[in-house]
Amino acid sequence: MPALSVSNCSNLSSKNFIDVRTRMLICLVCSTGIIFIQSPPALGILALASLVYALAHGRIKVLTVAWCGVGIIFAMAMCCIRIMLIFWPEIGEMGPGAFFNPFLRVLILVNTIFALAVSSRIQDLMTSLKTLGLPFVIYLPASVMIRFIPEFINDVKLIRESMRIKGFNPGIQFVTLHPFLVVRLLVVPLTIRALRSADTLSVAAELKGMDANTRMTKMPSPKPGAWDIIATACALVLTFGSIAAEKLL
Amino acid sequence: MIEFKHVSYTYPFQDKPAVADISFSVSKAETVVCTGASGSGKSTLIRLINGLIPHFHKGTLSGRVRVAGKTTAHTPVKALSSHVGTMFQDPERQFFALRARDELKFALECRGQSVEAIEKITRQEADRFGLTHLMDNMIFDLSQGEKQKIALAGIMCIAPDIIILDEPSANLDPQATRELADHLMDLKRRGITLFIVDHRLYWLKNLIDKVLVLDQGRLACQGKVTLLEDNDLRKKFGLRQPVIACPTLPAAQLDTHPTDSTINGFDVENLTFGYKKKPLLFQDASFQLPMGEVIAVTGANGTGKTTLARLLTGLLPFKTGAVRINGTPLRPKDLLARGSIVLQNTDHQLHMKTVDRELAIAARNNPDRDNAVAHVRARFGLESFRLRHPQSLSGGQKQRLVIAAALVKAPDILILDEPTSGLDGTNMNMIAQVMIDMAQKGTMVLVITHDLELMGLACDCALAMPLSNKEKKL
Repeated sequence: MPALSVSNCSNLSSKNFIDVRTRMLICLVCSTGIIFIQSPPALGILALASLVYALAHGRIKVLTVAWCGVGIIFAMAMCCIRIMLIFWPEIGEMGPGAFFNPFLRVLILVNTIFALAVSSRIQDLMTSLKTLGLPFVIYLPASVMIRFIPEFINDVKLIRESMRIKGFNPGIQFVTLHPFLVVRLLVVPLTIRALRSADTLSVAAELKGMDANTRMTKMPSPKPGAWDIIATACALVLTFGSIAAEKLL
Repeated sequence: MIEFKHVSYTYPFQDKPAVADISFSVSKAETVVCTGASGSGKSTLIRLINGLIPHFHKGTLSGRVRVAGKTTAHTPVKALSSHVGTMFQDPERQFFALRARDELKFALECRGQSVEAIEKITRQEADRFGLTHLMDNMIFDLSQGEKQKIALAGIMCIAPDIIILDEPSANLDPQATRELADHLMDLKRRGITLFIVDHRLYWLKNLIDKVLVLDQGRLACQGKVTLLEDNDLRKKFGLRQPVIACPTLPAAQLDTHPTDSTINGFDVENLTFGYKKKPLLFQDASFQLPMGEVIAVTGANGTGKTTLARLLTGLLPFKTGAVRINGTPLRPKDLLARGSIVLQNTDHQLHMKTVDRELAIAARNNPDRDNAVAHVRARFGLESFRLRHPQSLSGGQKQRLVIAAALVKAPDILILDEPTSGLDGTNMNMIAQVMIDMAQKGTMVLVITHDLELMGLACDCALAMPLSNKEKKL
């Protein structure tokens, strides 16, 4: 099965010193923490720590592309504000500092999600979801969503192929020049495929005897290792330490 | 085990009933095959047995359906699911897990079984279906036959009394079909009642106890397997042959190497291709195929049939190699312009708002566009659907439409990937005739198929995959 973004299993094993559940927990802790942290130094420390964490997973090229993407989005945001200021000066002058906190927040999120994405196979994510003991009504939609990522990617590939067979070249130029035709050619069949998949899967769920009252067997899960404990402790200390320091100082 | 008494059912917002006045019964351990033309009500019958009608699909139901002693109208699907297992045409679409082992365990976990019981039952069923070595494989890496075994083993973990199989042979090669027949025979011996809906009948002859033939929602006839030997009956209800002799087709390669433009042929030289980080599928393969013939591309799953089709139509670029038609070298871009390919899943290939627009957009580079569209519309019986949304058509109608859209390009090469999977006898005959006509006009028709009946009807020669030494180096 194609991994979410891991190229092969041998690569995976060397970087898999932290369990998927731990990486999910780190994502959750950091994304919750950045809601409350306000000061740039605290966010900066967390951003730096998340950067080290992301770099430890390799795939530096992919990470650089992700950062560039974030950088472009913020550059565009600043340009838009500049243009708006010309027409509505009452908004008030905003320097780069006004964008610094949101930028750091997004960077922290990108780093932690990147680490989760490049080092987790879809199967591992599903297994982790199962062992978390979530209620069935949460577990089932979440696992189905993950289960269908490869299928969705394959659907996009096949629809693009069909466009090429019909003589359309679905590149950036075509998308820019014919946006409505792209919706018709790409989005419509994709939507119909997604609806069909949802319908088929709900039928399959019914036929497997699942309903809202289903209570799943809790399968035994592996105990967290030393690295899991260290990584979780670091994330908790850094995030909640920053929040506490902000409140106290 | 299954009992229908004067059952009629109409889907919501429909005037005509999907099935009307159906009565039959099936005993324990009996194997019943239900067949009939596309749209005759076979899928509705499945939904009536497994309880999806009336619990999932609302509508108007009259009469009585009893399954394993329970009236389906008064029994929730969850309760019925302990007695009835259903295997879809494409089993992958009913899988909730990504690994074979997890899929087998899933239904048991949902029933709250103990960890020990789950391990024991899944191990037992995996052994029985010969799946032990595949338990840690991802479902995407399995062949269609292996996926069906996983689905069947998953159903058997629940130990149902009845198993319904929807078009189980539609996507299988002959070897996998034989294996499936053996597994079904084993289930029958274990006392399981089998209800099989299929168009292909030849592989079932040793299994069948009773045949039901549906026609326009009514039970046209029922009886022993000998019923299907009646030619008139098969023709009347659009059924396929119950007995097929395995066709022996000559090899497709030309004897001479067409180096000049006077030779009528499709020439591939030193083709090398492999997917990223996977072993090469083709290495320096050279072969020549005749124009104006229908060529069957045969071989087990994973041997590169669909990849070859994509390479020959320019959808995939060669790593190295060259292609010539009648001596003229072609780039992948030229191949795309001069070729047409119909892939397996029709949903991906239908984009437009109406059938007419779908055909028009496919024909937009054809100088004789209007005539070409009118011709294929009439030829494929699409006149009455001109303004229908393509995605609202039935499976058989969609298949006809995508093939019609491929033809309006007036291609030199036409490649069809499993064009008759899930099609009834009438539609299969129509597609066979279209392929023969295209070949007679000089088009090279390559058809990737496991359908022995289609091969016997339409194919002149075969290209067996994987490419043997002879094809690789002439």
